[in-house]
Amino acid sequence: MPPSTQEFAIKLGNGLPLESGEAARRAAFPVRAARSMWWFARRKPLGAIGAVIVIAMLVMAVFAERIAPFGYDETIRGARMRAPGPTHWLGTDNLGRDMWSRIVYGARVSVTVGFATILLGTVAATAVGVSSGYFGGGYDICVQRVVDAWMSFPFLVIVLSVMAVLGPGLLNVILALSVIIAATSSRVIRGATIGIAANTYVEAARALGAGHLRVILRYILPNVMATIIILATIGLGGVILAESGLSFLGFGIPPPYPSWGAMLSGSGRTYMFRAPWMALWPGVAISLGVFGFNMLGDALRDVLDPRLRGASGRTT
Amino acid sequence: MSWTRRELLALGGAALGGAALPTAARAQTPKRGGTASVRIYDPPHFDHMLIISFKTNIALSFTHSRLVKHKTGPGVAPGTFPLEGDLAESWTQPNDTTYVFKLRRGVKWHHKPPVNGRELTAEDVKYTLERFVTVKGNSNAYMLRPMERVEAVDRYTVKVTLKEPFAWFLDMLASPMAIAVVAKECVDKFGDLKKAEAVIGTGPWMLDSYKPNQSLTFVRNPNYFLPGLPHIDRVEGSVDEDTSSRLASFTTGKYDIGVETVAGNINKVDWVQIKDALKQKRPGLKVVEFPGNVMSHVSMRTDQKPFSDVRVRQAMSLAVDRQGLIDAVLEGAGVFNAAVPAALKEWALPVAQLGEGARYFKHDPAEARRLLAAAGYANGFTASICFTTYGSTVLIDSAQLILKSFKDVGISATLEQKEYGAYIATCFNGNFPSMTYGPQTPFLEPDNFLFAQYYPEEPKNQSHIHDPVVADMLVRQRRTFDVAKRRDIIHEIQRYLAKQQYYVQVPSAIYTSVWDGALKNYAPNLGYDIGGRLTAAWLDR
Repeated sequence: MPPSTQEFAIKLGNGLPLESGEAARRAAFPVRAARSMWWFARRKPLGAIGAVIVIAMLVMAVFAERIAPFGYDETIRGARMRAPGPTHWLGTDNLGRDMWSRIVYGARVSVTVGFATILLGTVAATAVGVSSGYFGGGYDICVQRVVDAWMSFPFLVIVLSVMAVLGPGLLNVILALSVIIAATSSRVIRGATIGIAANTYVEAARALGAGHLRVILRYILPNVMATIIILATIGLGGVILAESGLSFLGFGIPPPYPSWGAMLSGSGRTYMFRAPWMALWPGVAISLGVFGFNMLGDALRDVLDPRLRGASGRTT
Repeated sequence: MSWTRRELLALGGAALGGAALPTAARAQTPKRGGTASVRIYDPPHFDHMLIISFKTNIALSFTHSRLVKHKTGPGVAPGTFPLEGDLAESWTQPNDTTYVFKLRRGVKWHHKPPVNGRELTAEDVKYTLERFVTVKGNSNAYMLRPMERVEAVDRYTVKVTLKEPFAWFLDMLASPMAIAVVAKECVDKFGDLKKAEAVIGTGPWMLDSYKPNQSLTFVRNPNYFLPGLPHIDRVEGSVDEDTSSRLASFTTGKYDIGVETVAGNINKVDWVQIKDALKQKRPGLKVVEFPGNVMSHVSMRTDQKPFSDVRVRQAMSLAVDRQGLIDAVLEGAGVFNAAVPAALKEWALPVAQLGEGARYFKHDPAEARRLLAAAGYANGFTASICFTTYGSTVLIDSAQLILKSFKDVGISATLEQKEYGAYIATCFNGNFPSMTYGPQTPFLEPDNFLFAQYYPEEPKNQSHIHDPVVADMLVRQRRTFDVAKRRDIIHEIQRYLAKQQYYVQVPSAIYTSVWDGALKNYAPNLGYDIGGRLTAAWLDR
């Protein structure tokens, strides 16, 4: 039976430099975690930078009220379009609102939409992909034709149609983007499932009388988990970008709650020449967010996918 | 010989004047020919009786005539709309409910099938007016609701009988938003007037080509009934939906008149940014500033709590920082509005003259909180505001400031953003649970702002107002033909409504209307009649 994702993780731990497997097991968890992170940072520096950005975004999202010096909708009299300075690090917008505070609150939208969409989309994709790949036959054909039809529409057409029907709003953005994620990811997960279902240990489990649910939960899911995790982390950057795009087009989060895409598209674009920081900082935030999630996703894929573990040039 | 500075200045002035005289004289002589270039909008279709769309109305302002119209040209102050005959050569009003129009003779339809340049008759006018009020789907039909019957007395005489006196009847006929005269044969042939082939009128230009989402081109109507007009041979309208693109095009000289709204203006936000570049690139550019009549307001369910309490409505008005809004969103160039937009200067009452109600237009959050507490809402309340962006950052920004203003006095409101079509179908027509915020149709007379928005059961009575006092005044002003007396009633209405605050009116922008120096005898104004304003203009390139 091939090793599962958990087993890969243990193996990675065993491979830590300057440490025997026994000593590592004895070491306290924080120390082990720190060493794992250090190992990860050395092996995947871009991934580590991505991780730092992602963690920074998470912190901003969770502790926005404590980090932001002003409320996201607080208009400061006499501070209209003030350039970046000591009081307002990133300047103020045309309504006299602190840009740094709005960027911090904007992270909450990006993170919420990103994680919720990925969670919802991936759960749906896993259900569809694993069942389709495992059961095969007529069920697989029917499900895949529906997925084919769904994927034949351009991404933006589907999302805008869904948003037009549901209307703008956080939950609706999450639902619209989840639908896209579910369709595209399910195809990849189905492929991985078909490969795993053909293994003899799955056949053996069936021969021993294991039911479909047990086979899926015990033998299929753990072995497609690496694929799912990779899809999720790589998809996060795309979702953040898509949310920004929807907000840019006016289908995202209604004002005044700040979304980076909306900040970029609305007044940011209008006042681009007089107050370039109004468009600059949301743009930088979007770029950094997408870069962070993509780099982290790439690094995790390299680490978790047994076929790519030597992708950086080292053999394993 | 020595010259004093005064003498030198006098001499210089005389020399400049002398040099300029031949040019000025030459410029006053109308010049035939040339192509004017304007930014235009792609109409959803061309049947103005089956849609409320300024895009359709603007296109038809080039090709169609009305019975009466608003005067245009440099002699007309923006915001005023004096009437003159269009297809009607003259008219009389034998009594309060009867109008008799004498049509011009020899007016020809465009030389296109199925009318092929035949003469316009009283039957055409009768058909148009009757179609306007009877065709299914005309949301503007209410404008002529007082009309009882139309008779073609003879080939050139139309008699209209009203059910009741309606002092605004001629203004409604002149509105470029409504009643362009059409031919029955076109409706018979095409089923309706939606197709570009059905754009056949008696106006100064004929539709030459229509490329959806790209352009509309008009060519001079050689048989136009006003001799010698129009002077301009061709008008090329480009559909240009991207702000940056059309501003760049205007700066480089592509368009002859400003590219935003129907007043041919440049948005103040953009104007501040490009005016220096324009001074260099288009030194002859003409500029006029005047208040716009696009007025936004917060409407609310006054038939339900908490908005049924006048103190709550007054508190909401006091909460809104109108001057702050002008400074932040309109670059400091805006005007306060009461029930009649300030742009309609013949009818609007300045806020300072609103009497007791004037104080509710001040920004006074403390007083707002006091009024809310007195009404039993010391801790404020929660509400929603139905909203659509109209693709306008100005509207989005002002909505955010209004939300913040409400929040500051304890009213926790959230924006319920809808897609434009859904918004028009529901909230714009009063179908919303709490509040709505958005612009209103920019009509050119006060009745459409007052009667339509305050009279019980009117479709645009968004705030669900049932106030017998205001209803009585609204009917009275409609029945008062004496302009001065009618103005008094309309002022009285505005003073009364200022106290009631059924709608919280938001300031309007001051437009910066611009046009190329080579475009002579042109003057901007409010309203969709761009074709009308270009009819007597000429190009002196």
